[in-house]
Amino acid sequence: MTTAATSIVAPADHESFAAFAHERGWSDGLPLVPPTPERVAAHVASAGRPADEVVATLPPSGAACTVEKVAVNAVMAGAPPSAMPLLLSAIGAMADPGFELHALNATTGSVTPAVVVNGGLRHELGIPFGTGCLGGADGPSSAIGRALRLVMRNIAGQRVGVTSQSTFGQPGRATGIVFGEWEERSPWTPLAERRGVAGDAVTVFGTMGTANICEVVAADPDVLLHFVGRALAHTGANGFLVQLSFAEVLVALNPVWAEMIGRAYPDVADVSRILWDYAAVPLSEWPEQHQRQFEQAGRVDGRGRVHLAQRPEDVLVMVAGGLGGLHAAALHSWGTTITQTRRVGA
Amino acid sequence: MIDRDSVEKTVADLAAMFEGDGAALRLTSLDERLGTIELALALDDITCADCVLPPDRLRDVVDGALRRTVPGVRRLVLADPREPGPPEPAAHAATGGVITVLDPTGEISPGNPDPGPDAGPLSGKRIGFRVDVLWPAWDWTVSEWTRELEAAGAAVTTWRRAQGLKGAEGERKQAEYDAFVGGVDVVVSGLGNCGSCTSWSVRDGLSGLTRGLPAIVGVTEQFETLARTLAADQGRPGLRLIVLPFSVHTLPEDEVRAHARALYRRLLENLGASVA
Repeated sequence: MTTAATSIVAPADHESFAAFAHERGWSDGLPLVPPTPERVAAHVASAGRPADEVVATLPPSGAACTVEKVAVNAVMAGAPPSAMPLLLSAIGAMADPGFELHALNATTGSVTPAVVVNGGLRHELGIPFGTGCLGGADGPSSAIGRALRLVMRNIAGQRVGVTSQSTFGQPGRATGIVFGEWEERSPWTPLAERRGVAGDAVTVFGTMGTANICEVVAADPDVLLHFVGRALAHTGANGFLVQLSFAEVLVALNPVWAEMIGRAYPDVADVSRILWDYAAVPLSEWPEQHQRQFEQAGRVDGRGRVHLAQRPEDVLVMVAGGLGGLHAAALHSWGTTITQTRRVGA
Repeated sequence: MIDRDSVEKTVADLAAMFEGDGAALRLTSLDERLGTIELALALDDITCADCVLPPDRLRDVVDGALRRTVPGVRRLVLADPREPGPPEPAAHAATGGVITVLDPTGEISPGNPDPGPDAGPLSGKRIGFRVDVLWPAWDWTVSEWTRELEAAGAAVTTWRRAQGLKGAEGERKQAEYDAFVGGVDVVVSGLGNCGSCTSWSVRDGLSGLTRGLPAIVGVTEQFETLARTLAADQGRPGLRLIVLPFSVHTLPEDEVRAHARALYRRLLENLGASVA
C-alpha cells in the first residue's frame, strides 16, 4: 500500500474542476480549491510533520490518513496552512477507539464531531469564541471544519446514503462545528485544562447539533442553572435512550451568565452537578412503555426522575458566546462517543 | 476486488429494466481490483422521455443494485447524456488549461472476497448468536432459529452486545465476546437495523470470519448495502448476510417470528449449512 497522494491531471478553471471533483466523489458540493502540489506542500510544511506520517487509520474505509492526505483535503476546503496542527490533533482525537468513529460515521443519527479550541491558538487562527461563534462569524473556522468533513468523506469513506445512513444529517456535517472557549471571560479553568491538557488544545465532541436556550428574566444564578438544566432534558435526546451505555452534553454559557454563576459557584464541578440534577424528566411524563424500560434499566432516581446524563461529570461546561447574554447553547451528544481532548502542536 | 460476472449480470438486469423505456445501459469500464465500475446510458431510441428515471434517481437505483449484488464496489461512474460531465482534461490541454492536483482519497486494499468456510452439517455444531440490546425483533428471530437448529442437533449459545461500553468494563465485555467466538463453530451476528448497529454487527461478524469460522450477519433490507460496503471496507467483501424485512422492529412479535421461520432455509443456504 502506498501512502503518497497520486498526481492527477485536472481542468484548471474552477467550474470545471468542481465538476471533475464531483464526478470522482471528492466534493461536498461547495466550491473547492484545487489541491495542487505546491499548495499541498505549503500545508504539509506548516504541519511540521513528515508528509507520509500516518496520523490515524480511519473507519469505515480503514485507509491510512497521512499528513499529506489531510493537507490535500485542507487545501480543497480552503483551510489555511496554519490550521494543519489543529486538524491533525482533531483527527487523532476522533480516531481514538473511545470516540467510536466507525459507529458515528455509519449511524442514522445526525451526529458530527464538534471541535472546541482552547489556548492562544484561538487568537492565532481566528477561531471564534464570542458573538456568533457557533456559526456566522467570519474567519477560518468553517473552512477548518469543512476540511475535517472532507477527510471523513475522502479518507474515512463516509458517503451519504452508502456508509452514512444519517436520516437527516445536519448543517454541521458540511462545514463542521469549530469554535473556541472564551477563556478570558470564564471564571473557571479552561475546558481542555480541566480535561488534562493546558494551553493549545482541541476537544472533540460528537454532537447531534446545537440547541439554543433562551432566558430573559432570571437575575439569580440558581434560577439560571435550574432553567438551563431543565431545558437540556428534552425527551428526544439520545441520552434518554436506555440502550446507550452513557451520553454526555456540552453546555456553553455566555460570559454574562458565566460571571454571575461563577461568583456563586467558583468550582465548575458544582455547576455540572447542578445542571445534571435539573436535567431530568419525571417518570410520569413518559409513555408507559418507556417508563417500564427506565425502571428495568435502573434509570429512575429516588425522586422518580430520569436523568439525561447518568453522571454529573457527563455534563461538560464551557464559556462562549456574545456579551449580549440571554442565551446558552446546548450540544447534546450522540452517546457512547467519549469526548476526547488532545494537545495541538509539540 | 469485485467479480466481473456479478457486475455483468446486474448491469444486464438493469439494462433489461430500462430497455422498455428506450434507454440503453452498458458497461464501459471495470476495474476488478479497485472495485470501480463505469457505465454509460444512451437515450438514442427513446420514445418516452418522462418514462426514464431522472438522473439522480437513476443513479441511486443503479448504485443501490450494484452495491447490493456485487460485494466490494467502491466507485461507480454513470455517464448520463442528460447530465453533462466535466470537460476532459485532454480538451483543456490543447489550450493549456490543465493543472496537476493530488488525489484526496485514502488508499484502500482490494480485500479478500472469500466468504469463509461453509458451515456444513450442523448436527453437533455449536452455533453462536451475537444479539444486542436494541432489537427485540432479533431476539424473537434468534429464538425461532434456535428451536430449528436445536431440532437439527446443533447446540446454540447467545451473547449480548451493549454498544459503546468503555474502559475496563468495555475491555471485559470485548474479552468475553472474543471468548464466546472462540467457543463456537459458527457465528451469527446481528442485528443491523440502524447505522451504528450495522457497523457493530459487521465488526462482530468479521471477528468470526477472520478466525476462519463460518460467519453470517443479520441485517434488514434498508441496511444491506451499508453492511456489504462496511464488510468490503474492512477487507472482507464476501461476508455472508441474511437479510430480514425492513422495518422488522415495527412488526408485532407473531409476524416477526413468522418471518424468521420463513427465512430459516435461507439462513442455512447462505451459511452453506445442511441438516439431516
